[in-house]
Amino acid sequence: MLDIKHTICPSCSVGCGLNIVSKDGTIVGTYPYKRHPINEGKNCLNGRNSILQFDSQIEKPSIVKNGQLEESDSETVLKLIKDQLDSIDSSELAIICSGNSTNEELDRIKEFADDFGCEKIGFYGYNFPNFKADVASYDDISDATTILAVGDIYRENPLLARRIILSKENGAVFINLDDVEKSITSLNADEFIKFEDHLEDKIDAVKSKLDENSIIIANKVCCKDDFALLESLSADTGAKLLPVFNAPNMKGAMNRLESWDDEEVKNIIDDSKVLVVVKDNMLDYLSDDDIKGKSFIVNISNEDNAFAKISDVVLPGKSWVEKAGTFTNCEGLEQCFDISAEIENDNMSEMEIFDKLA
Amino acid sequence: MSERFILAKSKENEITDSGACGGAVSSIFQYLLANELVDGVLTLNKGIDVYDGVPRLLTSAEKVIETCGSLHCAPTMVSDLISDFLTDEKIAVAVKPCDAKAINELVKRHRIDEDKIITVGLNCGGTVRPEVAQEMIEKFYNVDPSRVVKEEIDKGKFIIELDDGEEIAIKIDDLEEEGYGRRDNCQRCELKVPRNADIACGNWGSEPGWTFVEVNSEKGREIIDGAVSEGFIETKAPSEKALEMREKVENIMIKMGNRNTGKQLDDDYSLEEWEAQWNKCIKCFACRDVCPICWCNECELEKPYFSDDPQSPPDPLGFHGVRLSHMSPSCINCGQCDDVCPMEIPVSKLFHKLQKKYESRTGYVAGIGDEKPPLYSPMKEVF
Repeated sequence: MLDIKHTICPSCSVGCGLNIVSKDGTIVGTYPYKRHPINEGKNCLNGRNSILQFDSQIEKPSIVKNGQLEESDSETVLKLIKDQLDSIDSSELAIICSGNSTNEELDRIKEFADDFGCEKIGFYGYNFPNFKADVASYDDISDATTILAVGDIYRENPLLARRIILSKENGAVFINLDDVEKSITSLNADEFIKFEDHLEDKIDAVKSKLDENSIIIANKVCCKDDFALLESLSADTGAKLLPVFNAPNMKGAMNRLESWDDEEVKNIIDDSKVLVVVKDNMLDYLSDDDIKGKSFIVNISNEDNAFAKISDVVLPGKSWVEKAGTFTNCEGLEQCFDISAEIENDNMSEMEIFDKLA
Repeated sequence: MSERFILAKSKENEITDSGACGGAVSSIFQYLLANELVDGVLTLNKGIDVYDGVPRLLTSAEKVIETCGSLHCAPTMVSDLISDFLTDEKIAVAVKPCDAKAINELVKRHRIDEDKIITVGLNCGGTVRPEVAQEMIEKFYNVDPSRVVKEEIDKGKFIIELDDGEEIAIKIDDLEEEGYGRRDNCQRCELKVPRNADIACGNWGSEPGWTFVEVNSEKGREIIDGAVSEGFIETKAPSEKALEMREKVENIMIKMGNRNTGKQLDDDYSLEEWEAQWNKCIKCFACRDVCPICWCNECELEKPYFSDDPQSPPDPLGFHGVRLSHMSPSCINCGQCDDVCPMEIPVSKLFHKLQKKYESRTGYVAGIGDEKPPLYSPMKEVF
């Protein structure tokens, strides 16, 4: 039976709508969701390709032996995890979450951590620190007279770039700051400023161009200090600030949990005996040596990747199309979504997993 | 029955009450499903509100009632759903003229089996983008868009019905002069009655409570005869005046389409302006993927010799130029490529413009009839 249902795109934090096409319980395609106010049926390649994860995924709870996944069952894997948890002190557990979980799941995981007495719960924030001040809205991009983009927004967040394009058509001046030689964003900017490693030297060059009618959009910062410079730039000029993340609910994670950089994550791994990682591929930002052999790794993810092979046990959880919940996008809008495809499998959801572990 | 033009109405009160103008389309779908003449009916379902149309495959006659009514603020295209996911099934599908054109082109490309599809056409005055519709209703109708329970395009007006039964109508011309109203492609459309579908249904020329049906194929005739004999619809002949009225409405709409085609395509961008448009391209393939015509077993554009520097826009000749050469002779002006482009590049203007040139040279009208696009130019055919 062919079915088309609305969902929220999982490929970044812009929060675009996406229709999932499924047939007889299998995801077969995507379809434009034109009613969605953020993207009006327009989706980038990453968004449309987000369903490729279903081509190769971990389908069963597994135990990893010599780098290979051996299929097991939920009961056995849960017992292994419980045995590990029973053998440690609460300070020896660390939980690494991500912006790929829903707000409701993050709340449940936080509750589990609190009950266990675990204080090391957070997520890798790609150098964005916890940022609870007001952020700019997408309408602010449309209304801006000057837009400063840090990073390649056109390539990585095309549906935000669309807002820049429309604003440019209304006369906005567009400045791009990046550490690359060129990008589609830089080629479309009225002015491109290249920085080396850090932003510090270039802040003065843009400060005089910004005012309260300006907006700063950043999807890339090299370190937390660089983000602090952008916060100061925003405060000094009155320009609004919009940090853009690479996961659909990183803003939701930021509102609830600690945002760590890579050094902080490394220290946490070193100080822990059990590491529970929820929907995150740690090899995206750490090396094999940073992770391997240091703790018992519980990987809750259906992503069939190298990180699964250096984990100790894997519970697939549920994919986003099988879930209902909310994601908070980078402008702070909490969007509800329902189950968009009925896929037949007996895997436990993340909520069920933490209920069982409690 | 052998008449080409008929008035039809559902024999089920529930459908005549909730369906558009007589509910004949819904009852025809019920007839096809109840008699197992099709495995499913692909139609449009109202999603969260009147601005949200979601294609839905119905497999039981009882469900048809849930999909009654028109949705002009849902610029969908269903042909690719059929060619990609429903080729194994025999289906009936509700089609706008552009859907019917796309299906026609896909039949020619052996992507859809003509014997497995029944096309029930819906006359179309055009569609409005959902966000544009809401903004327009707020700005020109001075009402909260969420209060709209029904909308209609009739007699050159966009009409909304509110939750308290009040109707407000504004001339489409006036809305479009202000940059609102129908999508650009719909403004340029010159096919309002889908004669490329098995039957074409609508309210132009109909009497209150009746659907005007034009029978376009033998398959269409069999469906009407079957639906009558099985007691799903009743029919009668339209009056001469109704025929004249329908023709008049259609001609006015076609004239508007012609005028807009000239206005939009002749006042096209300069080369410099096009270059600025191409510079925005991120080669995300959205235009290719959504195009109902652009289809190959293996897309040339993904071959290594067409790969571009990912930090630069693609060479317009190597990307849009290749697409242009592959599909512009058959461009049906559905505008889906414009709709889905994240970077707001109006690619359909170029494709449609080229198709119109091709049409004027070869006589090939995309999406109509059995003729395939000539492989070579007329000059070469002479040799």
